[in-house]
Amino acid sequence: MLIANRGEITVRIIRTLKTMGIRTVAIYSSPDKSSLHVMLADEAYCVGPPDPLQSYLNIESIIKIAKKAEVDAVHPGYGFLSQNPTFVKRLEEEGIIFIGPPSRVHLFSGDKVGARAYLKEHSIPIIPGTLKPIANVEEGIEIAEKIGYPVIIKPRYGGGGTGMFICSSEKELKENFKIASKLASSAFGCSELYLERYFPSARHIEVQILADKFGKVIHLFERECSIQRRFQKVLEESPSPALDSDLRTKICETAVRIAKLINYISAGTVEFLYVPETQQFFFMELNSRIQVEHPVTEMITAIDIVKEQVKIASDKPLDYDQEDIRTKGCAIEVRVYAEDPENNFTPSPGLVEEYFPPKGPWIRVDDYIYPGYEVPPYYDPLIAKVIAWGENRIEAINRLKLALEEYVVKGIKTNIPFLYAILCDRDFVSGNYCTTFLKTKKISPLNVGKIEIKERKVEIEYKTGVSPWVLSGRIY
Amino acid sequence: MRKRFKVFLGDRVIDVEIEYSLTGVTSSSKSFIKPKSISNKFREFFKQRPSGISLKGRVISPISGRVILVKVKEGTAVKKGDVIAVLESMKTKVEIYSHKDGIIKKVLVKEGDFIKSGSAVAEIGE
Repeated sequence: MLIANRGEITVRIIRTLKTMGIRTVAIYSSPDKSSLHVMLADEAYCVGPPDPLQSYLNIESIIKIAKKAEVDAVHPGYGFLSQNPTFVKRLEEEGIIFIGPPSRVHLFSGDKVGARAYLKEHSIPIIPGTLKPIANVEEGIEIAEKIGYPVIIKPRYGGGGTGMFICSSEKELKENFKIASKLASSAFGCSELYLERYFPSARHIEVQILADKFGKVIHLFERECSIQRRFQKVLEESPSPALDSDLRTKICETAVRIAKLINYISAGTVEFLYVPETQQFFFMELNSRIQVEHPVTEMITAIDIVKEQVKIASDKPLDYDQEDIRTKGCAIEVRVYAEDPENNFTPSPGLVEEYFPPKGPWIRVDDYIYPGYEVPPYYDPLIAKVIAWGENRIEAINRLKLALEEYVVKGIKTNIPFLYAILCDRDFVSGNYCTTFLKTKKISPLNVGKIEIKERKVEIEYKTGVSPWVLSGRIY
Repeated sequence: MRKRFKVFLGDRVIDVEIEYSLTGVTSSSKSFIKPKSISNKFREFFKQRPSGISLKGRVISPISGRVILVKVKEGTAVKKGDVIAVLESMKTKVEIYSHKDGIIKKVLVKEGDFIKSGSAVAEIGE
């Protein structure tokens, strides 16, 4: 199987494939030659120059390598081509299996407005707003007045938090409309926007689903991802501290219903917005790929989601019924980015001089860097994810804090002190937070590194004159 | 009691005066040291957006990345804090600021160039 990605997710996928006895093929751009995923894969091929458009997003180059290496399947990871219907179609044409949903699902979920309209027709609760792209500012203002400010404008084919603007007045809507459509057209190739009511105190709750090719759909419960910076998730946990068991069942069942409605196949995530005051929840979007935060679910359900993706793609029915899915305890993940939290989160690529990731019971680290590795400036700043499991939420928080205290990264700046400060926040610890948490809270980074790595000294010890015969036999 | 410290931050030197009283240690921690005001001052310095580092009138990029926009031409008059160029690094836009007032003598990069941290973006003359 070829993994059409880089970074920690590729390393993570390779590890599962190896345990399944599947041979792995990596691709890499020229600056990624010494990346960990290249070393771990059974085979590796250069896919092009640093620019992602010419390497990890270059459909034809990837297919050429896939054919040369004679792979049976391609796993896209997340980001890059993971939700690209053209890529999925091209693989179908070449007779190569795509580990993920068919192209029709990507076409459905890619068009955010279309998905809203379709699901509304089938009486799924959606966020109040437009069911068609808005034609111009005047129409936007008219709709905003009807549903009430604040509103949020989003690109029709958007994703990853790019090009979204919150507008709390007519003036702001007018100002942001132009910028947003410009951004949408440069980032997603289509300037169309849609508009939704914005809920400042809402929580982002998403449900992991698994669907096989025989129409069976199950859910692996929810993840809460309300701790976000500029619409980018920073911390995720499961179970959500905001839901009681009735609401949990309702949201999870709605996710399964949506998956069934559109004949979803493979692993996927249905994102919801939950408004605690009214206890309402609304469908937000569908992610037709594996998510960055999937380990949180893996830790509490003991199900390997990548393994399930591969099994589903090889025409196997799901081994589980919904009743078989039991969760245990609580898991929290933090995303470690190569960013300087003391300096307005400026990216910090460069040489990793020292690296000592945390270890210990109930700690999982998904990373791809090592001492001497140069983090390239061309790609995402995510360098690692640290996930802690605990019998309850407080135990998970404490274990995660200890892990971050032990984490050493030198040479590049990371957001670890910022992550630690979130874990120390009183409102976070009490579970009382929403999507505007990081915007309103002003979290100051806390440097709490407990481990000092001293300068390495290589000393050659004098050789002792031991006979190899003595070493060959043990006394006990 | 007062003590003066000289703090070196990159190419800047700040004088910091810390006031404390020996009797205040037990009675009132407020009069002892004012750590908050000092640390705020430090924070201000760190929080500044990544400006270019000056090196004999040259604007140096503090970060590696691809130049996506050059905002000045030869002869452009710039003020301290004006944007000279915009880089893309790790999917983020990073603006490079001028460190002083002056006139652009030479632009050393063009759009699409990939530059390493520490390399010069432009030269500024009087």
